[in-house]
Amino acid sequence: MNLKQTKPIRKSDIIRVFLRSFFLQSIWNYQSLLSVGFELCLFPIAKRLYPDDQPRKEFLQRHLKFFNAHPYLASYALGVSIRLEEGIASGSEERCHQLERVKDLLIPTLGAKGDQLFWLTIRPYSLIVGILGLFMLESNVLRLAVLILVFTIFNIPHFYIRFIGLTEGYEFGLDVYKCLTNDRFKSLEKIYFYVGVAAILVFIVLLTLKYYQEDPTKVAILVGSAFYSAILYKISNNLYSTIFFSILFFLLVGFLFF
Amino acid sequence: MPYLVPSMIIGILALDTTVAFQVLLSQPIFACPIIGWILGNPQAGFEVGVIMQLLWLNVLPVGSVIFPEGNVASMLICAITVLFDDIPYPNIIFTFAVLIGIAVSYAGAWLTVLDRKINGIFFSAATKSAGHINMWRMNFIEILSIFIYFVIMTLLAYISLIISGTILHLIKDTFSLVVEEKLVMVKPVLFGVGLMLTFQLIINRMKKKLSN
Repeated sequence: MNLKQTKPIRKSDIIRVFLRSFFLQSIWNYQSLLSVGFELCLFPIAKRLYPDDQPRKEFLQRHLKFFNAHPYLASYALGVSIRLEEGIASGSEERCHQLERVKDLLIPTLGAKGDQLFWLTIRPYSLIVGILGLFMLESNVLRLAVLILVFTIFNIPHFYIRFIGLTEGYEFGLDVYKCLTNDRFKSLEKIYFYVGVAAILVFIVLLTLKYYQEDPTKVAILVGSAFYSAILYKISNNLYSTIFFSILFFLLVGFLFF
Repeated sequence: MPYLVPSMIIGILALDTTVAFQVLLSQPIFACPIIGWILGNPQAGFEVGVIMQLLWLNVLPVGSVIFPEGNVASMLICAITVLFDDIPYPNIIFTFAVLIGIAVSYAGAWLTVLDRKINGIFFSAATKSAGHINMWRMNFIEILSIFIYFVIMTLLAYISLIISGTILHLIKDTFSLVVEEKLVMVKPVLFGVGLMLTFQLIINRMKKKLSN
């Protein structure tokens, strides 16, 4: 194999890719999903590795093929791509096929892990902590402090994953799967889940007490609407109609019986 | 143009939902206090933010799923509540805002689909630019795409605010204290629905854990 000498990737290139990754979904489309955003993230790498037109053109066309992932965990695919692009720039054609293959293989893994970790765990349970904080505190300054806390507890793992995904993907290359084991984020998920569940339970107690002190009818409406909407949601599986018909139902109840 | 500034702020914050950053700023507990603060009533922003956050907590912006635009709807509900707080029927105004918000969340979902279809045109343009090795043009396409989403959401908010203002000024004389008192129950109902949806999220997770 005839390997060429290429300019090495610098830390500043990785940081630029990291910053660009915040716009990964900007051109999300039904034909190629994330691919355009993914390619735009890698522009600093293209500029570093491919000063000549033809290899740069091939690079640009290579990354426009279909790609999808969770927007935060896509950084792993970005890191692996940078590592393999280095190989391609050095003249290893084998790396080109490996790149396409590994990106395809990463799609379900990064999607499922990201959805589970962020959309189903860290995001909702961080927000529940925020809901409890805003509900409990009266002062606007303290409420602002709660928002800063929620912003921090969500974005520390968010920024960490975006950055560590890039660096680990780059470091491990094709062995990136070693970084994506099932157990890796389990303890983090557990912490957010238990804190979130505790927060929602405290919130329910405080809300019930508040309504009981104001007017016990409100407690009945709270409980009634939760059960009524649960049935409605089960039947319709539609959020719009569940909210609309719950309000309508209790409006009627209110006018008829209270 | 009293509606333009809040509409543009809604447009900017809406970018955080999927298009850029995704750092939570578009979520109701952040976005509503920002809107409330800008319009001069952060207290209302916090209150609306808490209620709306519970409602939209388990809406997931995953892949090609068409999800309700709850974030834009919440910001709009907050804006309507604050902009029309001079009308002395807060429960009626809030209920009206929620109903407008439901319609906006539905319209927003389909406008997001439209934006993604427009992005399909940008994808074709990006493919052509890649063929011509025009990286500058590809960067421009990205900025244009973000701008178009901002314009779509700003227009949605602006039109909704104009419609809300027009309707409210037409019907405000028909408001009565009896209706105002009855509508005290809207917030408990929304909390009830929100708690149900939140428990669905928790139960689904526990079921998944048990099945594993």
